[in-house]
Amino acid sequence: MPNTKKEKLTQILQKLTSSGDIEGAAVITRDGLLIASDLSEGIDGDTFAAMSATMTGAAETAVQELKKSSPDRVIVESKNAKLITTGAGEQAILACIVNPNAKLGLILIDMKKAADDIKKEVR
Amino acid sequence: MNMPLKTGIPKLDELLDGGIEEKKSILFYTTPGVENIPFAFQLLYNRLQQGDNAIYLVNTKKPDAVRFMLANYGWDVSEFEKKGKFAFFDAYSGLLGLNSKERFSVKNTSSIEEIKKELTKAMGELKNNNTILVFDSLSNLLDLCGTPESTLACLKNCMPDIQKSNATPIFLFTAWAYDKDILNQIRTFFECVIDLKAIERKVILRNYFSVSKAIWLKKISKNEVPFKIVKPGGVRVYIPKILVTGPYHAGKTSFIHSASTKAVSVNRLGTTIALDHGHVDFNGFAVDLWGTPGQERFDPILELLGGESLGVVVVVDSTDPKGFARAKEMLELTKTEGLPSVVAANKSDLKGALTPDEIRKRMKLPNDIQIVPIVADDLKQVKDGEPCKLRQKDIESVLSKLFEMVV
Repeated sequence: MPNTKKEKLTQILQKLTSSGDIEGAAVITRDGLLIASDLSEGIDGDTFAAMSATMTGAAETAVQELKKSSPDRVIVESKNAKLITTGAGEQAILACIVNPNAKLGLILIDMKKAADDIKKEVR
Repeated sequence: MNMPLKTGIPKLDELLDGGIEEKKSILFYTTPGVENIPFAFQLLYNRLQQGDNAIYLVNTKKPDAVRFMLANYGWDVSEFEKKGKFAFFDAYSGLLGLNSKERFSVKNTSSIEEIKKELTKAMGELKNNNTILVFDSLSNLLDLCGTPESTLACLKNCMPDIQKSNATPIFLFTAWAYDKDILNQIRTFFECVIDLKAIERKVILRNYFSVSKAIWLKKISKNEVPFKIVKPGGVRVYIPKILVTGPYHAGKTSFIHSASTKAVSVNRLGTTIALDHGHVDFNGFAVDLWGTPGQERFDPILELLGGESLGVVVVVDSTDPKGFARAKEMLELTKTEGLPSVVAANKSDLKGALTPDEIRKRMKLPNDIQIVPIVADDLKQVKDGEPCKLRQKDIESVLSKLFEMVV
């Protein structure tokens, strides 16, 4: 069976979520459409994608208004989860839902690696 | 001429000029990875509801699994089974060495002759009525029984009998790595071929259906219709992004909440500050609506929100002509000028509201952009700073006009 881009991206996401601390992950276009996801049942992927992309875009715009360089990532901290989004090339962003007690440094390294892989696929 | 049989998928019926013709052989030719079963389910259930009979030949899973899937889509066939209008043809259990409890079944699932014999029996029992005969799947039939060539030849022999017993055969086929020659033979063999494929456009893989052959059509439409499978519901024409924009306080959020089965909004202090997002399920369409904020201070994110839109609803306040220029500016900012658009003229029942013609004149809109007046369902319920319920009839008029333009 041919390995489609969507399957390759899903594989990258599954690798991320298999570590345990990342509970869900999605690749989203910069303008908020879902490309691929590995999210638990009951999450509305389309709405999650739209909101994550808008949040990331708004954060970038906010920082640009300060005449500072574009943010590397956006981290949202809540009592029972962290939501982290990071750019994955010009076209896409990677969004991860993370266990709040996880070691953030390791998660960020994993995400960076995955984002690089995604960048190669989404061009 | 006989009336075409409606498939229950309105857009597909349109491509087929009303529906499939009875007693013609129909093939769903599917790219691997694309779901074709819901198409057969929807067609079958729709025909059962219209009073036809149906037989579901299954050789890919147990009939109980198919019953379970049907129920998941919200289609209960048990009543039809009880009345004898619907039956399974179990060509799977035999493969596992199990006895089948279905009305029709074969022991040797790899014998096309045995299948043919049982099929004749089934056709004999149901022949007094139009019957839909679903083969799920042709690919498995080719894999299990002899060579693909001999199986096709045998099917060809069956066809006159099938047609004599008033049956319309529907075949599900997934185009795995078969010989090119076989794939061509299959395409020529069927009288109507509906293609289901996945096409990658702008990094996102989407599913499309199209009709590549139907012998009763003089002209085949080249239209490729994007679709999505929803549970429950089945096949829907899919439009991933319709932008809803317009000036501050025009009623964008109200529009989205009134139109959607499910919607979320990022509203603070009574105004949208990021976006509204809603799922619409209407008239065979599944559509996601994206609503922008209206105030100028949010302009920097408008371009991001507008990207990849396939159509626009511009909501304006009919009583506030000052906002019209802003509406046009927002089309520019979201980079959606020139896309199919409909103007929803909200609050058209309030004192001082302009008529669609006046709005067209003031906004200098070309004639191909339609203006639809919309009003609140109940003015007494309208509260400032909260989305209100708009009249359903008006919303549907806006949506159907826009969807028609987009697809």
